[in-house]
Amino acid sequence: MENISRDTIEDAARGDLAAFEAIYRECSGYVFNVAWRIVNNRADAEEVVQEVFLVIHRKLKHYRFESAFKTWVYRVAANSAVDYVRKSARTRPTDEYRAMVQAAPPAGPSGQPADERRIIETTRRVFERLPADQKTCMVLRHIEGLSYKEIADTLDININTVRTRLRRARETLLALRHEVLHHEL
Amino acid sequence: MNCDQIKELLLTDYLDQNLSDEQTQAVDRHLNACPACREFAASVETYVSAPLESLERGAPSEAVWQKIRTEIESEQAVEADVETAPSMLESWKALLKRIRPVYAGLALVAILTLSMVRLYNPSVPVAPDAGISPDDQARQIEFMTYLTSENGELGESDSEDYAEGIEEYFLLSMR
Ligand SMILES: [Zn+2]
Repeated sequence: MENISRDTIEDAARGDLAAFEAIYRECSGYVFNVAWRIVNNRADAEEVVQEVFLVIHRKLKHYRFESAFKTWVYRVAANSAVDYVRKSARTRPTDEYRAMVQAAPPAGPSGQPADERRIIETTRRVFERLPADQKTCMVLRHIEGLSYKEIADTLDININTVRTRLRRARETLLALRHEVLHHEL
Repeated sequence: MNCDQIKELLLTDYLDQNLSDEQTQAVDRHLNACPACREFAASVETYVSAPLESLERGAPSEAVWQKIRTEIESEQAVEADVETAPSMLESWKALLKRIRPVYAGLALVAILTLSMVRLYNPSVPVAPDAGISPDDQARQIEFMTYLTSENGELGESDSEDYAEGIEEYFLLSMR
Protein backbone atom coordinates (compact mmCIF):
# COMPACT_ATOMS: atom_id res chain seq x y z
CA MET A 1 0.00 0.00 0.00
CA GLU A 2 2.71 2.44 0.95
CA ASN A 3 4.43 1.14 -2.20
CA ILE A 4 2.20 3.31 -4.35
CA SER A 5 4.13 6.40 -5.35
CA ARG A 6 2.67 9.82 -5.85
CA ASP A 7 3.73 9.55 -9.49
CA THR A 8 1.69 6.40 -9.93
CA ILE A 9 -1.37 8.09 -8.44
CA GLU A 10 -0.91 11.15 -10.63
CA ASP A 11 -0.38 9.05 -13.76
CA ALA A 12 -3.51 7.07 -12.99
CA ALA A 13 -5.44 10.30 -12.42
CA ARG A 14 -4.40 11.40 -15.91
CA GLY A 15 -5.91 8.25 -17.37
CA ASP A 16 -2.87 5.93 -17.50
CA LEU A 17 -4.51 2.52 -17.20
CA ALA A 18 -1.27 0.69 -16.40
CA ALA A 19 -0.72 3.00 -13.43
CA PHE A 20 -4.28 2.39 -12.31
CA GLU A 21 -3.77 -1.35 -12.59
CA ALA A 22 -0.71 -1.02 -10.33
CA ILE A 23 -2.94 0.65 -7.75
CA TYR A 24 -5.52 -2.09 -8.15
CA ARG A 25 -2.91 -4.83 -7.67
CA GLU A 26 -1.71 -3.17 -4.51
CA CYS A 27 -5.09 -2.35 -2.92
CA SER A 28 -7.64 -4.83 -4.21
CA GLY A 29 -6.76 -7.46 -1.59
CA TYR A 30 -7.66 -5.38 1.39
CA VAL A 31 -10.61 -3.73 -0.33
CA PHE A 32 -11.91 -7.24 -0.96
CA ASN A 33 -11.36 -8.36 2.62
CA VAL A 34 -13.03 -5.32 4.12
CA ALA A 35 -15.96 -5.80 1.74
CA TRP A 36 -16.13 -9.56 2.25
CA ARG A 37 -16.46 -9.34 6.02
CA ILE A 38 -19.04 -6.59 5.77
CA VAL A 39 -21.24 -8.05 3.03
CA ASN A 40 -20.62 -11.67 4.11
CA ASN A 41 -20.15 -13.38 0.78
CA ARG A 42 -17.51 -13.45 -1.92
CA ALA A 43 -19.70 -12.70 -4.94
CA ASP A 44 -21.13 -9.55 -3.37
CA ALA A 45 -17.68 -8.59 -2.12
CA GLU A 46 -16.37 -8.78 -5.69
CA GLU A 47 -19.16 -6.48 -6.83
CA VAL A 48 -18.20 -4.04 -4.12
CA VAL A 49 -14.55 -4.22 -5.22
CA GLN A 50 -15.59 -3.38 -8.74
CA GLU A 51 -17.69 -0.46 -7.59
CA VAL A 52 -14.96 0.83 -5.26
CA PHE A 53 -12.32 0.90 -7.99
CA LEU A 54 -14.62 2.59 -10.47
CA VAL A 55 -15.35 5.24 -7.84
CA ILE A 56 -11.63 5.60 -7.11
CA HIS A 57 -10.88 5.90 -10.79
CA ARG A 58 -13.42 8.68 -11.23
CA LYS A 59 -12.41 10.54 -8.08
CA LEU A 60 -8.67 10.19 -8.52
CA LYS A 61 -8.46 13.55 -10.31
CA HIS A 62 -9.84 15.19 -7.19
CA TYR A 63 -7.60 13.39 -4.71
CA ARG A 64 -5.44 16.09 -3.12
CA PHE A 65 -3.00 14.03 -1.02
CA GLU A 66 -4.46 15.57 2.15
CA SER A 67 -5.23 12.25 3.76
CA ALA A 68 -3.13 9.14 3.31
CA PHE A 69 -4.07 7.35 0.11
CA LYS A 70 -4.61 4.17 2.11
CA THR A 71 -7.06 5.91 4.45
CA TRP A 72 -8.94 7.32 1.49
CA VAL A 73 -9.23 3.90 -0.19
CA TYR A 74 -10.35 2.24 3.06
CA ARG A 75 -12.99 4.93 3.43
CA VAL A 76 -14.39 4.38 -0.05
CA ALA A 77 -14.32 0.61 0.53
CA ALA A 78 -16.05 0.70 3.91
CA ASN A 79 -18.70 3.17 2.75
CA SER A 80 -19.44 1.22 -0.42
CA ALA A 81 -19.72 -2.07 1.45
CA VAL A 82 -22.03 -0.67 4.10
CA ASP A 83 -24.17 1.00 1.41
CA TYR A 84 -24.27 -2.26 -0.48
CA VAL A 85 -25.60 -4.11 2.55
CA ARG A 86 -28.22 -1.41 3.18
CA LYS A 87 -29.41 -1.41 -0.41
CA SER A 88 -29.48 -5.12 -1.09
CA ALA A 89 -32.25 -7.02 0.58
CA ARG A 90 -29.96 -9.99 1.11
CA THR A 91 -30.66 -11.94 -2.04
CA ARG A 92 -27.68 -14.24 -1.81
CA PRO A 93 -26.97 -16.70 0.95
CA THR A 94 -23.97 -15.85 3.07
CA ASP A 95 -20.82 -17.95 2.88
CA GLU A 96 -21.56 -19.04 6.42
CA TYR A 97 -24.98 -20.31 5.37
CA ARG A 98 -23.50 -22.15 2.40
CA ALA A 99 -20.92 -23.72 4.68
CA MET A 100 -23.68 -24.84 7.03
CA VAL A 101 -25.80 -26.56 4.43
CA GLN A 102 -22.82 -28.47 3.12
CA ALA A 103 -22.10 -31.69 4.92
CA ALA A 104 -20.12 -31.09 8.06
CA PRO A 105 -16.44 -31.73 7.42
CA PRO A 106 -15.37 -35.05 8.95
CA ALA A 107 -12.37 -33.53 10.65
CA GLY A 108 -10.75 -30.14 10.97
CA PRO A 109 -7.20 -29.31 10.01
CA SER A 110 -4.92 -31.71 11.82
CA GLY A 111 -4.21 -30.71 15.36
CA GLN A 112 -7.18 -28.35 15.60
CA PRO A 113 -9.52 -29.60 18.30
CA ALA A 114 -13.23 -29.79 17.49
CA ASP A 115 -14.01 -27.28 20.25
CA GLU A 116 -11.75 -24.74 18.69
CA ARG A 117 -13.42 -25.16 15.31
CA ARG A 118 -16.81 -24.77 16.92
CA ILE A 119 -15.76 -21.57 18.60
CA ILE A 120 -14.40 -20.19 15.34
CA GLU A 121 -17.63 -21.02 13.51
CA THR A 122 -19.74 -19.50 16.26
CA THR A 123 -17.67 -16.34 16.32
CA ARG A 124 -17.97 -16.02 12.58
CA ARG A 125 -21.74 -16.32 12.71
CA VAL A 126 -22.13 -13.82 15.49
CA PHE A 127 -19.69 -11.55 13.71
CA GLU A 128 -21.80 -11.59 10.55
CA ARG A 129 -24.78 -10.36 12.48
CA LEU A 130 -23.14 -7.42 14.18
CA PRO A 131 -24.52 -3.97 13.32
CA ALA A 132 -22.72 -2.58 10.27
CA ASP A 133 -20.99 0.27 12.12
CA GLN A 134 -19.56 -2.08 14.74
CA LYS A 135 -18.61 -4.65 12.16
CA THR A 136 -16.77 -2.10 10.05
CA CYS A 137 -14.64 -1.09 13.04
CA MET A 138 -14.00 -4.74 13.85
CA VAL A 139 -12.94 -5.52 10.29
CA LEU A 140 -10.55 -2.59 10.12
CA ARG A 141 -9.10 -3.53 13.51
CA HIS A 142 -8.97 -7.32 13.36
CA ILE A 143 -8.64 -8.08 9.67
CA GLU A 144 -6.64 -5.06 8.56
CA GLY A 145 -4.84 -4.28 11.80
CA LEU A 146 -5.56 -0.54 11.77
CA SER A 147 -4.99 1.51 14.91
CA TYR A 148 -7.86 3.34 16.63
CA LYS A 149 -6.58 6.59 15.11
CA GLU A 150 -6.49 5.12 11.61
CA ILE A 151 -10.00 3.70 12.00
CA ALA A 152 -11.22 7.06 13.28
CA ASP A 153 -9.68 8.86 10.27
CA THR A 154 -11.05 6.32 7.83
CA LEU A 155 -14.60 6.48 9.10
CA ASP A 156 -14.47 10.14 10.08
CA ILE A 157 -15.52 9.44 13.66
CA ASN A 158 -13.68 10.11 16.90
CA ILE A 159 -11.44 7.66 18.69
CA ASN A 160 -13.84 7.19 21.58
CA THR A 161 -16.54 6.14 19.16
CA VAL A 162 -14.14 3.60 17.70
CA ARG A 163 -13.40 2.27 21.18
CA THR A 164 -17.10 2.08 22.07
CA ARG A 165 -18.04 0.24 18.88
CA LEU A 166 -15.24 -2.28 19.35
CA ARG A 167 -16.22 -2.84 22.97
CA ARG A 168 -19.90 -3.38 22.08
CA ALA A 169 -19.05 -5.79 19.29
CA ARG A 170 -16.74 -7.79 21.56
CA GLU A 171 -19.30 -7.84 24.35
CA THR A 172 -21.77 -9.27 21.86
CA LEU A 173 -19.33 -11.99 20.85
CA LEU A 174 -18.79 -12.83 24.51
CA ALA A 175 -22.45 -12.69 25.47
CA LEU A 176 -23.74 -14.84 22.65
CA ARG A 177 -21.16 -17.56 22.92
CA HIS A 178 -22.97 -19.60 25.59
CA GLU A 179 -26.28 -19.49 23.81
CA VAL A 180 -24.93 -20.38 20.41
CA LEU A 181 -22.52 -23.01 21.64
CA HIS A 182 -25.15 -24.82 23.65
CA HIS A 183 -28.28 -24.48 21.56
CA GLU A 184 -27.46 -24.03 17.92
CA LEU A 185 -24.52 -26.29 17.26
CA MET B 1 -8.73 0.45 39.04
CA ASN B 2 -11.81 -1.57 39.90
CA CYS B 3 -12.99 -4.74 38.16
CA ASP B 4 -15.36 -2.92 35.77
CA GLN B 5 -12.60 -0.64 34.58
CA ILE B 6 -10.28 -3.60 34.15
CA LYS B 7 -12.90 -5.48 32.13
CA GLU B 8 -13.46 -2.49 29.91
CA LEU B 9 -9.72 -2.27 29.24
CA LEU B 10 -9.57 -6.02 28.58
CA LEU B 11 -12.16 -5.52 25.84
CA THR B 12 -10.51 -2.45 24.35
CA ASP B 13 -7.09 -0.88 24.86
CA TYR B 14 -5.49 -3.83 26.64
CA LEU B 15 -6.62 -6.24 23.94
CA ASP B 16 -5.53 -3.84 21.20
CA GLN B 17 -2.21 -3.12 22.93
CA ASN B 18 -2.76 0.61 23.17
CA LEU B 19 -1.65 0.86 26.80
CA SER B 20 1.71 2.09 28.03
CA ASP B 21 3.99 -0.47 29.71
CA GLU B 22 3.05 1.00 33.04
CA GLN B 23 -0.69 0.70 32.40
CA THR B 24 -0.29 -2.83 31.09
CA GLN B 25 1.59 -3.82 34.22
CA ALA B 26 -1.16 -2.33 36.37
CA VAL B 27 -3.76 -4.47 34.59
CA ASP B 28 -1.54 -7.55 34.89
CA ARG B 29 -1.13 -6.96 38.62
CA HIS B 30 -4.90 -6.80 38.98
CA LEU B 31 -5.31 -10.01 36.99
CA ASN B 32 -2.82 -11.77 39.24
CA ALA B 33 -4.82 -10.80 42.28
CA CYS B 34 -8.38 -11.15 40.94
CA PRO B 35 -9.69 -14.57 39.78
CA ALA B 36 -12.92 -13.10 38.31
CA CYS B 37 -11.09 -10.72 36.00
CA ARG B 38 -8.58 -13.44 35.17
CA GLU B 39 -11.42 -15.65 34.02
CA PHE B 40 -12.92 -12.80 32.04
CA ALA B 41 -9.55 -12.21 30.35
CA ALA B 42 -9.34 -15.89 29.43
CA SER B 43 -12.83 -15.75 27.87
CA VAL B 44 -11.89 -12.70 25.82
CA GLU B 45 -8.84 -14.54 24.55
CA THR B 46 -10.75 -17.74 23.75
CA TYR B 47 -13.94 -16.26 22.32
CA VAL B 48 -12.84 -12.98 20.80
CA SER B 49 -9.13 -12.66 20.04
CA ALA B 50 -8.25 -16.17 18.93
CA PRO B 51 -11.23 -16.85 16.64
CA LEU B 52 -10.97 -13.45 14.95
CA GLU B 53 -7.30 -14.07 14.24
CA SER B 54 -8.30 -17.20 12.41
CA LEU B 55 -10.67 -15.44 9.99
CA GLU B 56 -9.06 -16.14 6.66
CA ARG B 57 -8.22 -13.47 4.14
CA GLY B 58 -9.15 -13.74 0.49
CA ALA B 59 -8.54 -12.04 -2.84
CA PRO B 60 -10.90 -11.09 -5.66
CA SER B 61 -10.82 -13.25 -8.76
CA GLU B 62 -9.01 -12.04 -11.86
CA ALA B 63 -12.35 -11.46 -13.61
CA VAL B 64 -12.99 -8.49 -11.35
CA TRP B 65 -10.06 -6.55 -12.75
CA GLN B 66 -11.10 -7.45 -16.29
CA LYS B 67 -14.57 -6.00 -15.67
CA ILE B 68 -13.14 -2.84 -14.14
CA ARG B 69 -10.76 -2.40 -17.07
CA THR B 70 -13.51 -2.91 -19.63
CA GLU B 71 -15.71 -0.37 -17.86
CA ILE B 72 -12.92 2.21 -17.66
CA GLU B 73 -12.00 1.71 -21.29
CA SER B 74 -15.56 2.26 -22.41
CA GLU B 75 -15.80 5.39 -20.24
CA GLN B 76 -12.59 6.68 -21.78
CA ALA B 77 -13.92 5.90 -25.26
CA VAL B 78 -17.03 7.97 -24.60
CA GLU B 79 -14.93 10.87 -23.34
CA ALA B 80 -12.76 10.66 -26.45
CA ASP B 81 -15.87 10.62 -28.66
CA VAL B 82 -17.17 13.75 -27.03
CA GLU B 83 -13.85 15.51 -27.56
CA THR B 84 -13.67 14.60 -31.24
CA ALA B 85 -17.30 15.37 -31.99
CA PRO B 86 -17.87 18.93 -30.87
CA SER B 87 -20.19 19.62 -33.76
CA MET B 88 -22.75 17.12 -32.52
CA LEU B 89 -22.62 18.52 -29.01
CA GLU B 90 -22.86 22.05 -30.35
CA SER B 91 -25.90 21.21 -32.42
CA TRP B 92 -27.65 19.79 -29.36
CA LYS B 93 -26.76 22.89 -27.41
CA ALA B 94 -28.11 25.10 -30.17
CA LEU B 95 -31.33 23.14 -30.26
CA LEU B 96 -31.69 23.28 -26.48
CA LYS B 97 -31.10 27.02 -26.47
CA ARG B 98 -34.09 27.39 -28.74
CA ILE B 99 -36.23 25.08 -26.58
CA ARG B 100 -35.29 26.75 -23.30
CA PRO B 101 -37.28 30.01 -23.48
CA VAL B 102 -40.36 28.05 -24.47
CA TYR B 103 -40.24 25.98 -21.30
CA ALA B 104 -39.42 28.97 -19.14
CA GLY B 105 -42.39 30.81 -20.65
CA LEU B 106 -44.74 27.88 -20.18
CA ALA B 107 -43.72 27.51 -16.55
CA LEU B 108 -44.28 31.17 -15.88
CA VAL B 109 -47.75 31.08 -17.42
CA ALA B 110 -48.62 28.06 -15.30
CA ILE B 111 -47.43 29.70 -12.10
CA LEU B 112 -49.25 32.93 -12.88
CA THR B 113 -52.51 31.16 -13.64
CA LEU B 114 -52.32 29.11 -10.47
CA SER B 115 -51.62 32.11 -8.26
CA MET B 116 -54.36 34.18 -9.88
CA VAL B 117 -56.86 31.48 -9.03
CA ARG B 118 -55.60 31.43 -5.47
CA LEU B 119 -55.44 35.19 -5.08
CA TYR B 120 -59.00 35.69 -6.24
CA ASN B 121 -60.36 32.70 -4.36
CA PRO B 122 -58.61 32.78 -1.00
CA SER B 123 -61.06 30.19 0.28
CA VAL B 124 -59.80 27.57 -2.17
CA PRO B 125 -57.25 25.53 -0.26
CA VAL B 126 -53.90 24.59 -1.79
CA ALA B 127 -54.16 21.05 -0.57
CA PRO B 128 -57.33 19.38 0.62
CA ASP B 129 -56.30 19.85 4.24
CA ALA B 130 -54.57 23.22 4.16
CA GLY B 131 -55.80 26.75 3.48
CA ILE B 132 -53.47 29.67 2.65
CA SER B 133 -52.66 31.97 5.51
CA PRO B 134 -52.48 35.73 4.87
CA ASP B 135 -48.76 35.36 5.50
CA ASP B 136 -48.44 32.87 2.70
CA GLN B 137 -50.38 35.16 0.44
CA ALA B 138 -48.08 38.05 1.17
CA ARG B 139 -45.07 35.90 0.43
CA GLN B 140 -46.66 34.70 -2.74
CA ILE B 141 -47.32 38.22 -3.95
CA GLU B 142 -43.74 39.13 -3.10
CA PHE B 143 -42.53 36.17 -5.09
CA MET B 144 -44.74 37.05 -8.04
CA THR B 145 -43.36 40.60 -8.02
CA TYR B 146 -39.89 39.17 -8.02
CA LEU B 147 -40.76 36.82 -10.85
CA THR B 148 -42.24 39.48 -13.08
CA SER B 149 -39.58 42.11 -12.41
CA GLU B 150 -36.52 39.88 -12.69
CA ASN B 151 -37.89 36.92 -14.51
CA GLY B 152 -35.14 37.18 -17.09
CA GLU B 153 -32.45 36.39 -14.59
CA LEU B 154 -34.44 33.80 -12.65
CA GLY B 155 -35.66 32.11 -15.81
CA GLU B 156 -32.16 31.99 -17.21
CA SER B 157 -30.58 30.23 -14.24
CA ASP B 158 -33.46 27.80 -13.90
CA SER B 159 -33.44 26.78 -17.51
CA GLU B 160 -29.64 26.56 -17.45
CA ASP B 161 -29.82 23.77 -14.83
CA TYR B 162 -32.57 22.11 -16.71
CA ALA B 163 -30.73 22.24 -20.00
CA GLU B 164 -27.55 20.83 -18.53
CA GLY B 165 -29.49 17.90 -17.18
CA ILE B 166 -30.95 17.31 -20.60
CA GLU B 167 -27.56 17.59 -22.28
CA GLU B 168 -26.11 15.02 -19.94
CA TYR B 169 -29.05 12.81 -20.59
CA PHE B 170 -28.51 13.00 -24.34
CA LEU B 171 -24.79 12.41 -23.95
CA LEU B 172 -25.44 9.30 -21.89
CA SER B 173 -27.96 7.97 -24.34
CA MET B 174 -25.48 8.46 -27.19
CA ARG B 175 -23.10 5.91 -25.66
ZN1 LIG C 1 -11.10 -7.79 39.08
